[in-house]
Amino acid sequence: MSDPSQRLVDDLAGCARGDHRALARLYRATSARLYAQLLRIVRDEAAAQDCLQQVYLRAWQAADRYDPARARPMTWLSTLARHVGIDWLRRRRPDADDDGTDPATLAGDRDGPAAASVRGEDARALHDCLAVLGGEQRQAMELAYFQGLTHAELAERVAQPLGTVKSWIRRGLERLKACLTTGT
Amino acid sequence: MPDHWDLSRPDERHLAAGEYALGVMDEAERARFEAVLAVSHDLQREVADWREHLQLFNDRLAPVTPPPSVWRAIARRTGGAASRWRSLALWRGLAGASAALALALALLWVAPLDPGAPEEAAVYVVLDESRSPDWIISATEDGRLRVRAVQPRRVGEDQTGELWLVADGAPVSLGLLPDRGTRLLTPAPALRERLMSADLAVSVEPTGGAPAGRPTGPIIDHGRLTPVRGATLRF
Repeated sequence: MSDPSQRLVDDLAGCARGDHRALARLYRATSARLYAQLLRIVRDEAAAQDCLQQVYLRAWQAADRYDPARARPMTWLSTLARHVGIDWLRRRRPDADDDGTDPATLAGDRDGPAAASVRGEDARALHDCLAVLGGEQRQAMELAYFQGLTHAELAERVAQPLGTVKSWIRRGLERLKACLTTGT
Repeated sequence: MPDHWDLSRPDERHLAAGEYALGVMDEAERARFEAVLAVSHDLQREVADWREHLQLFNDRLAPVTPPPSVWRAIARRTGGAASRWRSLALWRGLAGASAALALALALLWVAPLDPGAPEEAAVYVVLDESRSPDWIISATEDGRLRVRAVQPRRVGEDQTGELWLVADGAPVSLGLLPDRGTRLLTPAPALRERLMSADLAVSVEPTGGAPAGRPTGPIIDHGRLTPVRGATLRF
């Protein structure tokens, strides 16, 4: 089967059997995307590299618990990467409040031609569902997703009342869901 | 907007799953949600669906190739690459060895004695990752190896198990293992001398054995021959 997602499923199964070549294939196929994700979360190259190492060590150890019926392989790996990255942020958060989190620059983000080709392999992204989100909704959701912030932390970060932030998130989720499932 | 989600209502449950997947719940909310999540398959599926949806945020990031040092560290720490065979002795530790020994002794106890067979001087039971026996390898007093297939589950069609002697970090083939029944392997005299002191390992290889005389497939198990009490070793 040439489906790239199926190849990743096979490679995770190989990792569960202790096959180092499967781990090497998995790394070649996914590390650039997970590294980009970790860079986005921790915003420090050395830390992102440490985290990336942790992600593959954990994937190697936990591959036998991966269930293709429950998650696509890339989603499983991304969830792992997100946990590792956000754990790293939390460990240094007390002195990291001044780490230059500027919502305006975050909302801009890097979205070059390479991102478009990544999207291209994914049917659900033929329609860009992020575009249906309002600016505040999207910004709040991205801050939560990449920085691991709770409602209360978000409210503080963007200097808005808690109720306002909660409703941004809620409407954002509703719109995203509607777009992804019905294309509206 | 409610302060607390009513998880018995499908629409609220669905959005709560989204908030959980996004990670915005505070500690108390998360604990309440996880208590239900632990027992609700519906909720587990909702969270899984949301994780797929939220991948959208990752999908739009331009990939960045990490420096080669990251992979080298991963290969080193997983025992892959060059260190793979050298680190065999540390791989599974003593727990595996004693489990293998206990199982070997138990199997020998119930195995009917064959008066025509040569004495078993030492044994090694090849276990897969679920600690089930794949093969029983018995060394005779003169250093030949009698291999009995139990249930080699890891070996698929067009594949075979291959036995290696690992000395000084370099694997040397001792021969192919049978899918079923018993096979007698006769190592060269120089190898026989090292049988008791070297690590043995079993890898999965294409039918006919590793093409270049070096292991290519995953390692099923590794271990050492354990002398049978009272037996005479003449190799």
